[in-house]
Amino acid sequence: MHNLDAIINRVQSYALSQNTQPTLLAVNKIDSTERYQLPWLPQSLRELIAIGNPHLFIFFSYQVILGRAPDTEGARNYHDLISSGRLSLRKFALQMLCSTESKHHGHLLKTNRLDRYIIALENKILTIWGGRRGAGLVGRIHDQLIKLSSTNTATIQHSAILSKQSHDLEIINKKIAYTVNQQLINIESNLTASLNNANQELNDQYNKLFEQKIQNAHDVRDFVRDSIKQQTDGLNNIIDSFSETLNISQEKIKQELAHNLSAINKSLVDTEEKMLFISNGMINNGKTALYLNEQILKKMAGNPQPATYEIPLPVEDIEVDAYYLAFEAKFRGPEDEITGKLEKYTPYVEDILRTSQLPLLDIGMGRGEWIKLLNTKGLKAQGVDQSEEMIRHCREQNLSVVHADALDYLSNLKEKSIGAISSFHVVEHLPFEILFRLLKEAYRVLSPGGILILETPNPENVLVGSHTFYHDFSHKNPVTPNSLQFLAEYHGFKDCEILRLNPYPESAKVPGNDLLTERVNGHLCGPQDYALIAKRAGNKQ
Amino acid sequence: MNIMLAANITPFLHGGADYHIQGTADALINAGCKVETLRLPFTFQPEQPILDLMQWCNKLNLNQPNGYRVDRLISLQFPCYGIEHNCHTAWIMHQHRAVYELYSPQNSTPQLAQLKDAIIEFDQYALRHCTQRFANSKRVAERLYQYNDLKAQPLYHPPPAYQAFHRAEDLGYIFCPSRIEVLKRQDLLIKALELAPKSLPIVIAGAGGQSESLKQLINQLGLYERVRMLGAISEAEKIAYYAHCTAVFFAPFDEDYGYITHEAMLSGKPVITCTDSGGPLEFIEHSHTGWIIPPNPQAIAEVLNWIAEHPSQTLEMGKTAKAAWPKLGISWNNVVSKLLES
Repeated sequence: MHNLDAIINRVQSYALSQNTQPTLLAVNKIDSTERYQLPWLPQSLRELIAIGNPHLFIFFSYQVILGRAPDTEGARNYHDLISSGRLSLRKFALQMLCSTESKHHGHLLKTNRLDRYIIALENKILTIWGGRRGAGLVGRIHDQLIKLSSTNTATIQHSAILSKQSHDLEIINKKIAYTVNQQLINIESNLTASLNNANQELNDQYNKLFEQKIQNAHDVRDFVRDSIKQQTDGLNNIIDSFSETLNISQEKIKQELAHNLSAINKSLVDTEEKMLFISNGMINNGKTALYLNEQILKKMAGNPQPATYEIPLPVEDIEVDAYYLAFEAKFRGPEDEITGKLEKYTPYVEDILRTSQLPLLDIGMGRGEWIKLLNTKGLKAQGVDQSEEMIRHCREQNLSVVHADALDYLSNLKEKSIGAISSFHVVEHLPFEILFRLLKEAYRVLSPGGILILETPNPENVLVGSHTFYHDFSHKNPVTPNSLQFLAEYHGFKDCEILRLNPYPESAKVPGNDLLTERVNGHLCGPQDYALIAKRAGNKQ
Repeated sequence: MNIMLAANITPFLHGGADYHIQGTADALINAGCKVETLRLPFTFQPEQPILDLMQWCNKLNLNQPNGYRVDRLISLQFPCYGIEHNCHTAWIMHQHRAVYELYSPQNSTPQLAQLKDAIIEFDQYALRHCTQRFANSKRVAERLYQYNDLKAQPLYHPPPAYQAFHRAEDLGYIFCPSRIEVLKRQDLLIKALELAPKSLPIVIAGAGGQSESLKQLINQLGLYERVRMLGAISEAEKIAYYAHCTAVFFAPFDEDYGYITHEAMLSGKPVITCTDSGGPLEFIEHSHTGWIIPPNPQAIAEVLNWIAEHPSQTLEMGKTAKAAWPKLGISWNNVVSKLLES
């Protein structure tokens, strides 16, 4: 099949047959209001009347004046009137021309001048005279005039017949097409239905087969299940007998163990008694030895002197340090919270540490949160502390710390060798002489532009000065911001700044904003700590 | 899971992209997702509105519009890749082709050159910052790697109504369905037909800007008796033409993906394609499920003659193609599980 047109026809019809929706055959309804293009229509009033045959005349009057086919009711009524002579063709045409429907349609029927005059005259007589007789006479004369003056009547009648026949044929055609379409749709839906039936049939057959298979499958499954059950039962029996044996041997082992245990305990008790006896003997020996020592010393010195024993107490130091670690955890807060609070100091030291590449020294660095924070930012920092426990804690975290007395350590540092010095909650532990020397040494070791940060409890808050300051047994006395700033300036520090920190939360304050309430809140709920930030002047010259 | 699907719209200019976007949304909804589809009006000319749209996308953050959580943004088209989202999956349909593989410095304007630089920079940044990148096909992934040095995993999706394609009696013609455009190169087939006197007749389906000049070419070469141009056809007609043909011709220039390859395989027909056709090359195996030949009329003419002389081998190749398609593992289920993978 190499003819393209044949191929395309085949494929197109295949495409249509594949389309399940019968959309391709649209229903063509016969619409009585539809206007058909007639091959001939009367052009003038004269031509219309010349048709003569009442049936055709009515049909064409409707077509040309109203633009539609006559309805059967109207057509029959007018046909009776005209064929019985009660209504002349001219009169009917004039009535129709005056109707509102005709004005709406806008017909193209021509009327010659003479006819117009006669129609006007007839109307005049009707209105002036009010009598029908005169008008009727004019009408009859007009009828005769039309009859006499029409020349081509035969041609017009012939055309009218042909035109009407073609119209009727067209209508019949439409009707046939409609019926054929209907039948096609019926056939198609029947086809679809039978296809569906066939599908249904196939499905049923398939389902039956499937059920049979399932039945078979069920038999197989039952068999498998039974055999599995048998196997399982056998296995269960084996497991039961095995666990029984196991229980028996466990019991035996337990008894054996209990026996051994009591034997061991007995021998342990024996050993303990023996050891007690030995140690008593040794204590006696020791006492004897001491007594002998004393006797020897007395004899050697000649005067009786009691034996004194300088007992070193390193254990006690470590205990105090451990107490401090615990104390800090409770009253200063967890390490990460402290780190958050320390964060605000970084902007003060960051510049000088970066530009000078000198380290920061944290005096009494404690758990080392601050130097750790600086290290994470890539800044050099070291700590000095007397507490062994703190040193161990910091070294575990790979922090650079020195175990020494701070003042000693400072005194041994070179001049201008440190970028910044900080000390949090240390100054309140120090006697004034030490504090004085500490600031002096700090100024010496700081490089020009170096920063000093000292944080301490703020006694401006009455509750701090009278109560919370004394939570720490090792605190000496509160240090006021004014005196600390004066001391720093006395040693040469410039650009001193006091940061007041950690006020009580808003919720703790007495509500209200009058002067008294504000004063009470200021004294009782104000900042609990403050920091002095001071600078060693740069040597720009 | 709330998903934003971002793509473009070129008003009243519809094609495969619309199906791709709608198909993705439907598949996500079927998988139980809530989907909102955002479609940005896109104009190819002039350059400034494209730059404006890029900037607009860059400023858009869709993590939580109006306080409503969006769990994932899936963007399908340029410049939706630039929208900000913490979990942004780009499934690149294709890039802005005018400034990549279709760009030639000789035919360019200064504005287009400027646009090219801006788009490359935009794509580079936006696509690099996506959580994961998929490409519509291996070809699209290759171009991304070639021009932007970025990797993307090819992720294929099935063509529209792919279950409807089937085989029917071979009526002895070559079917060539596609929009009729320069890049689709129907003219190659017509020129080849002139050189292949034994060839089966050809049926061309589709509308497009090159319809008239293709008609002229057919008349010029006096091939009217051997070629028919059907114009646009319905889906049912398309399926029927696939079902009855002997082989399918589909040899565009550097196609991104191309549904036609898949439709032909699903209809059990071998595909004639060319070495520079892009997408089809990922699925067609030369002399097994079709022919991959140089893009010149002589080579195509040889294949056309061969088909006419070897009907039973051609039929076998069609069957092989139909058997091969399911093994490609292309399904919307797979698409959804990949898109929601990480």
